[in-house]
Amino acid sequence: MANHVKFESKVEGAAIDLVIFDIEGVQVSAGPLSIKYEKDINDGTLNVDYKIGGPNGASFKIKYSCTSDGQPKTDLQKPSPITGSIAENGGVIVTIKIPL
Amino acid sequence: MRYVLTIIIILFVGQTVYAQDFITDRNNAGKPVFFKSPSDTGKVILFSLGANVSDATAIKLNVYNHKWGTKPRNYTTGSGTDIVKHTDLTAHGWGAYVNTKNKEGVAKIFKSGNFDPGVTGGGYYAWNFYRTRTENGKFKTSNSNLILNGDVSFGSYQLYDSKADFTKQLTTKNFVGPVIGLGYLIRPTKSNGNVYWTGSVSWARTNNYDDLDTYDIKNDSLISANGITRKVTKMNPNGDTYADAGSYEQFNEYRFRLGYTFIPANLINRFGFSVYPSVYIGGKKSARLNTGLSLSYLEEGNPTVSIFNLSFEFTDISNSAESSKSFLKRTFKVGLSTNLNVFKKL
Repeated sequence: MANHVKFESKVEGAAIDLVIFDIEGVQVSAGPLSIKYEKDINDGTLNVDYKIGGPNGASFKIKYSCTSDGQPKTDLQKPSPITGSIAENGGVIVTIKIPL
Repeated sequence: MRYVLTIIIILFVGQTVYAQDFITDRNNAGKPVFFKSPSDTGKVILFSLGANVSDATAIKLNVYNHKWGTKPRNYTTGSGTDIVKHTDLTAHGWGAYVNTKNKEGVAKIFKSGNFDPGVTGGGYYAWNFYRTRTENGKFKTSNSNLILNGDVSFGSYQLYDSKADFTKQLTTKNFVGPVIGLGYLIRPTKSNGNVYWTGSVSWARTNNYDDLDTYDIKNDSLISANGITRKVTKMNPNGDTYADAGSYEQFNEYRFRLGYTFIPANLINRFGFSVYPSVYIGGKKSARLNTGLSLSYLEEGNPTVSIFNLSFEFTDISNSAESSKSFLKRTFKVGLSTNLNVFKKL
């Protein structure tokens, strides 16, 4: 049975240039620092990859919220907000896995 | 919407000099084209206040409206386990700004409701190009920016003409100086640390006021009565310094500038070292060769904004033989600034 998933997120950071959002392995947004995503998902987990670009040393804060059939869900290992910085190559990948 | 509030405290050592194009300098000349709105309204406002130890304050309002290109370009290279996923992106936007000349003070903007001497205003259009690739589980980016800039400054200069009639020796020359420039900036992919290359070409209508000999002149009157002589000095709100009117000239100037900034990772991306040579062509002098070096202490987590900047510049090196001043006195300028940046969401 599919779960009706609503996912919203934004990345904050004055020096952050761009964010590519890959959800379930598919690129759903490239460039903007925020996203609103809504879909019926059969899999029991929502996988989101944030590809965050900017100069090395740039710090960021990821905020997200997710509901599955109206119930709030979160990645218990990486609850919102997630903070970090870009250490190398002008980019970093942050992955969250939200059980639905 | 996100507002970026920057408060800048500026300390002057020697004359005002210009620093590099990219990292915010002590003249607050940087543009916020690199700031992105997380809410994706596309609008960013940079509001800056400044002060220096010798005089009043400065203010700058800078608005930038940013939009992403319509569609990213996705493609792959390589094959098998070496496949690389590329996404190229574009963005563009316009900006506008107005700021006082630091030494003139905030009140200059508001005085009489007019743009008074010392105020600069302008606009720019920027194109941003981003290249990204994902390989072996790593995400890598580089970017470049093209900026078309135009601004106009309003200046007022006091001149002294020793050959004129006595009552006409002291004059004030108003000056409107337009500048049109095209700049390019590249941040290549670096495994650690950051490197920025910049280059710009610009045309400016300018003058040689800063190169002129100056005189300190006050209008005194002596009044005698009852055996007392009173010396009365007329106060000049614009100061008592006058430059040699006979040598004053206005001319077109073409400016070519390169810049290189290195931000080493082993200093945790907190220090930027820059070098920025330039050539100015125009006026009666031959081409003027300049070069500058600067050290910036950068904001944690935001290596594009300097908290502290120390700049050393040699200007007009190639014409040193034409001046009566010593080489160092004529060419060497030092600038020291500190910035306090506050980022605030509203």
